[in-house]
Amino acid sequence: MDLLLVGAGGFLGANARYVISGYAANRFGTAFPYGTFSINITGSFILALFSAVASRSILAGVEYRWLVAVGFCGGYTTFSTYTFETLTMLRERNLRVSLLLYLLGSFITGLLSAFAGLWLGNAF
Amino acid sequence: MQKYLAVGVGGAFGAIVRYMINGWFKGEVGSFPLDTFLINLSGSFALGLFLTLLTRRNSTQAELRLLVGTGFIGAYTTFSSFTNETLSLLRAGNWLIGLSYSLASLAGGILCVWVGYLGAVMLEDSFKKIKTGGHESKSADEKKPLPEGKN
Repeated sequence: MDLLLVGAGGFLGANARYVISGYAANRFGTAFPYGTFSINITGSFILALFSAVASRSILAGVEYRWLVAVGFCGGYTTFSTYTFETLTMLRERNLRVSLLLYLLGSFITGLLSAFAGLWLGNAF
Repeated sequence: MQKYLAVGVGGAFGAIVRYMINGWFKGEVGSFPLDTFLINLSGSFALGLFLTLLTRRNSTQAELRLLVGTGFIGAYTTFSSFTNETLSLLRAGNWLIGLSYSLASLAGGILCVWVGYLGAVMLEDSFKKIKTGGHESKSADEKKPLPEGKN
């Protein structure tokens, strides 16, 4: 049962990422990875919100954790594309954009959005 | 439709493999998240290797890229766990572990994706040598330094 729910979450999460990054590339271009950036920020927020809310609600069951946290949020956000895009920009000699804006920027914004998700979840 | 199926099937298996690795490393709460760390580093290496090989071969197999790259490796690695684990380490006052986890993940991830990229370039070069019978190619094309191609 756990594998099925994790897999279903991963199926949906990966497709959500695919659709959003495709849309962002069409809409804003590929000079900066806006898609992966917003995916990782929103995914960090959703996981924190879910973890905070799930601890004391009907979502407390481990099935929801498998589907939403491990499957969906894990499959939706991605670390490998994030490092690959950083390397691509590094190879194009965009040191400041790749390392500061994208690599560190994603991390710090992701940390802050996780904090915001936790805060919002605990405020309910 | 086939595109979404490729991404989804790859994503389902990537998430399941990550979940199974999570189970093997049942670390104590407040300790270094070794499972996510190893997952993100190995996935970075794998994506660097895979996407570089595909690009250098001018592969037209879009579905393969979606199944393995976007789906499997993308879903195998995770950013949300990385930030949430760092946040809970910092909030618990485990500053040293939280900082070393985030720095090691970022620096290690870049290093691994770069090693994967270099590995793909070396593999491609040795394939070419095998194809030309082990002799140094005399074509001007081969003597040129590797192009700084865009991915």
